Amino acid sequence: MSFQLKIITIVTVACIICTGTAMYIASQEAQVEGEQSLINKGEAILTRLEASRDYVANQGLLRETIADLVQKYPNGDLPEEQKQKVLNVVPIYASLKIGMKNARKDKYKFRVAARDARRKTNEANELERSFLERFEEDPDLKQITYKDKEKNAMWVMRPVRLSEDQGCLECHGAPSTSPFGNGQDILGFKMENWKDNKLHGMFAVISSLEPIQAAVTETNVTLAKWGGGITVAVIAIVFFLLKGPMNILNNISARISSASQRNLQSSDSLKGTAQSVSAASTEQSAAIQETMASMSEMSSMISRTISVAKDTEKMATELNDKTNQGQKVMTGMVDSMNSIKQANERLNEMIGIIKDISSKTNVINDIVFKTQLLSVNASVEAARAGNHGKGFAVVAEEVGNLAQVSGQAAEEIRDMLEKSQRHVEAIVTDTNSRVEEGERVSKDALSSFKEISDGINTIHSYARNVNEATVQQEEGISQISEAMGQMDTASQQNSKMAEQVSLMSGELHHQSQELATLNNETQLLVKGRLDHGPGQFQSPAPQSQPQAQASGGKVLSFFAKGHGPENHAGEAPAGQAPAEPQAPPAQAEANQEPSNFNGTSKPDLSKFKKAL
Amino acid sequence: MSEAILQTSEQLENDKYLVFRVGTSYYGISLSEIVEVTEKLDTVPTPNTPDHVIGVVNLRGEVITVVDTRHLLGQEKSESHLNFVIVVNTDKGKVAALVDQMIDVRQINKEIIEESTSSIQSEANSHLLGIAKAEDRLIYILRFKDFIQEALSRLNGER
Repeated sequence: MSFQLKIITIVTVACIICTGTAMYIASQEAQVEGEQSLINKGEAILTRLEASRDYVANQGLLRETIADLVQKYPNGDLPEEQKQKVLNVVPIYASLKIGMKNARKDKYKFRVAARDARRKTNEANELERSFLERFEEDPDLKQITYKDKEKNAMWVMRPVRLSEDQGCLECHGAPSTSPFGNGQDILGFKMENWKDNKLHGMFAVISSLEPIQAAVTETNVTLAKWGGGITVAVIAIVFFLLKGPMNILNNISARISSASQRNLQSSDSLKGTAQSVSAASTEQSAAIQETMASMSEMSSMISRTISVAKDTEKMATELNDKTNQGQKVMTGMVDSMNSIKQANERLNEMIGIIKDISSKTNVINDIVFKTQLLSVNASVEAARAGNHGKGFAVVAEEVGNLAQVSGQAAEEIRDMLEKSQRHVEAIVTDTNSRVEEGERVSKDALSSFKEISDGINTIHSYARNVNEATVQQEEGISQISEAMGQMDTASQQNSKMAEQVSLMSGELHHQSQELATLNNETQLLVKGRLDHGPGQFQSPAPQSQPQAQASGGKVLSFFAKGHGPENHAGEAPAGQAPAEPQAPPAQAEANQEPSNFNGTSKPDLSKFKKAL
Repeated sequence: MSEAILQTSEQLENDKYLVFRVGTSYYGISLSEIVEVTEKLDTVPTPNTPDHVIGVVNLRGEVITVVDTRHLLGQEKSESHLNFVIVVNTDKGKVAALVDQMIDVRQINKEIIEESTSSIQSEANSHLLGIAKAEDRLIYILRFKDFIQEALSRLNGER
């Protein structure tokens, strides 16, 4: 049920109640007034009756009439008209008659009730007897009003008491006073021997309540009409008056809802950020420790570097001397190469000589060839000579053979010469190339030596620079170590702050959830239902509590990393307020960690400074 | 050769041959058929002669005809290879036959000369005495004078 509807309902109900109340009060008042007026009317009538009774009594006609009639009719046998004459002067009868007269016209019923009434119609019924008893009991009671719900009528009753003054006892008195002495009154009724002021009966004016009720109903109808009209008008006015503000309220509620959602997200992301910051600071601490260790290593390295640089400087000087010697040796080698070159030229000359010798073997070959021809021709001649030329043939043949042998020898010589020439040539080319290579190499070596010498000089200067640089490095490292110390404290502060931020984000989360809950409640109030949009919490209270706890647990477990299971036990209990019971352990963790840093890093630093 | 020297004088007379090479084949001719052996001489070409006649040379004042044995023996023609001259006496005078190379003068026993078979058909077939199986190679034994003479007469007959 929306707020607007509620307000309208309230207004409507209020209007209805007001109208109802007005109607009730009005009807009551009308009723009472009507009844009072009826009573007044009754009273007035009864007063008039009493007045008329008194009036009639004051005439004093009754005694006179009785005396007359007693004279006239001493036997007491009165005609009816005489009896009527007597009745007409009886005060109570007069008032009774007056009461009866115009009763219908004036809208009331007149009733006379009496016990032991002379007329049976006037005998009191049970209700009337009760009233009579009341009158009897209290002689001072002048009047009784009674509302008869059964007959829907208002009774106004007054007692009728006997009065001597009014001559009541003339008829109802002691029988001894009977006019005829027979114990009967003038009309022949037995005298009751009543005393003065004896309750004889009562007059009752009974008015119907119906007209009053009709008036009340009419009033009610009018009031209901007016009330209904006013209610409708008020509802319309309220509806139009509330329309604008309700829209604004809805809008605000939606904005609060989205804001609280954003808040929730921001708090979550803040928490995440805080966790990452915390993790980062832990990593940073570790990194700082590592860096410290590295720094001390670096410091020892630097001191080693210094000694190495000094050694290098010394070595460079020695090496420079050696290089100079090498240079000299290389110069000598170049000279040697030149002599080898000259020797090679001589070998070349030798090749020329070998060629000459080779050409001489050609001459030998020529001779051999010719000798062979000659030997063939000699053989031919010997053959022609027949038996005489037989010996010559043998000689010719031998000559031919010798020529052949010498030809072979010459051939061999030539082969050998060619071979040796080739060898020598190969040696010469080889030597030449090697000498050239040697020359080149020695020149290269020489230049290399020069370069080496230059390099060594450079190394020398570098080593000196390295020396200076390492001294500066040492200073730098000491500065870095100071910076590291500062970073260490900073990271400790970081981790503390991250922890605080984490706690605060948990709180923020909690608050934003509370805000969401409030907003939901507001929405529930305003709209009478929940929008199932993003960021609405259907049942915020049971959800938010464990969530908040879980987040608290996360923070805690993060800080409790590597610190035993007792911390995990701390996050287990459910139904606790998330922030307060967990904050002390988290803080304890946070304090523990920095103390760890202090415990390890400070000696590191001192060690490190000592190394410097 | 040393074996040859140890032969009896009777045998020597008949069995001495000059071995020479023409192209890829080796030939042996009796020393009795040869006038002399020289190096190649400057040849003067003669016109209107058949292919196997190269020209004429002046051998110590005597003009003699020069024939190409490569052509006659059916070998591939190549004058640059012909470095030696064998001079033989024919009916028509001395003739210089150009050959590739002189090998040696050797004794060839009749026993190792196999009669030529009719299966070998060639220009020189009619003048082939046989084939000697020397230890290193086969040597065609020719009646060189008749071979040259016939070649020359065939030239004349054609004219």
